[in-house]
Amino acid sequence: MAENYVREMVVPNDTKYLSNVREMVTSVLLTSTIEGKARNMIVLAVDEAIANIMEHATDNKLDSDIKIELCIKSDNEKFQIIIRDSGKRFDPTGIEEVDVKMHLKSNKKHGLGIFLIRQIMDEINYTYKKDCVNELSMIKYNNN
Amino acid sequence: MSNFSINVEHLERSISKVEVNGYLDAHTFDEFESTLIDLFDEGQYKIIVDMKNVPYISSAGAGVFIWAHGQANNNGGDIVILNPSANVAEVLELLGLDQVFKIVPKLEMGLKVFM
Repeated sequence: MAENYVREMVVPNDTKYLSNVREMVTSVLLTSTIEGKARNMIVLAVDEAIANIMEHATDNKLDSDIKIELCIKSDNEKFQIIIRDSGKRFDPTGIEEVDVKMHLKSNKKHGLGIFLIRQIMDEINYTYKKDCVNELSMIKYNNN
Repeated sequence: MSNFSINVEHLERSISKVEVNGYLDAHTFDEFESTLIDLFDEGQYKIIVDMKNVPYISSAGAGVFIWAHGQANNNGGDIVILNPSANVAEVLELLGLDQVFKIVPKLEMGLKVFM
């Protein structure tokens, strides 16, 4: 059972590294009290959040100047993921709720990532820091 | 990092089977999308997507399914999802796609969808 476990990772701004992110998050989850399906869903939420940054932070251009940092804090009460990036200001929590049925009818390809994050995580908070850093915090409480 | 590949097989009655291998995420979805665009350009709209070798899907991959579903339906076809892993099935369910797509465990059942 993890108590105050902290792990950090710098993620290159390239979608090919998303699998590394998922592996890292999975490895931390395996030390936590979160189990089974919830683990897979948290991995998905982190993947979606970072993929969103990669899509929006640079208007879809790869830019090695953009830093993405992932910090995971885990204890018996909760599993918290903090993602900081130096890309364009982007508040994913400000995006309107997606009506999935309408989304399906309109055959839209994009926009479901935030919907998934909201479905999976218990708390999502965004702040824009003075030094031009986006910070997204996502928390999943351990209900076991 | 995983290897990602797609194999296309033309079956009976203008049905195509698309076998996807690897993670279907924001890094790989465009290859999947390109494969489907090529099939649509050939007039192939009856498509079975074999997902048995896809351990993970994100919204980027699911988005391609949503788009392709509309394209296929508008042209007298459909997209059938064959044998998704438990993890992939959970994501499809969370998005409500299990109510939209025909999801089958065996190829024979997929072929019957187009009869």
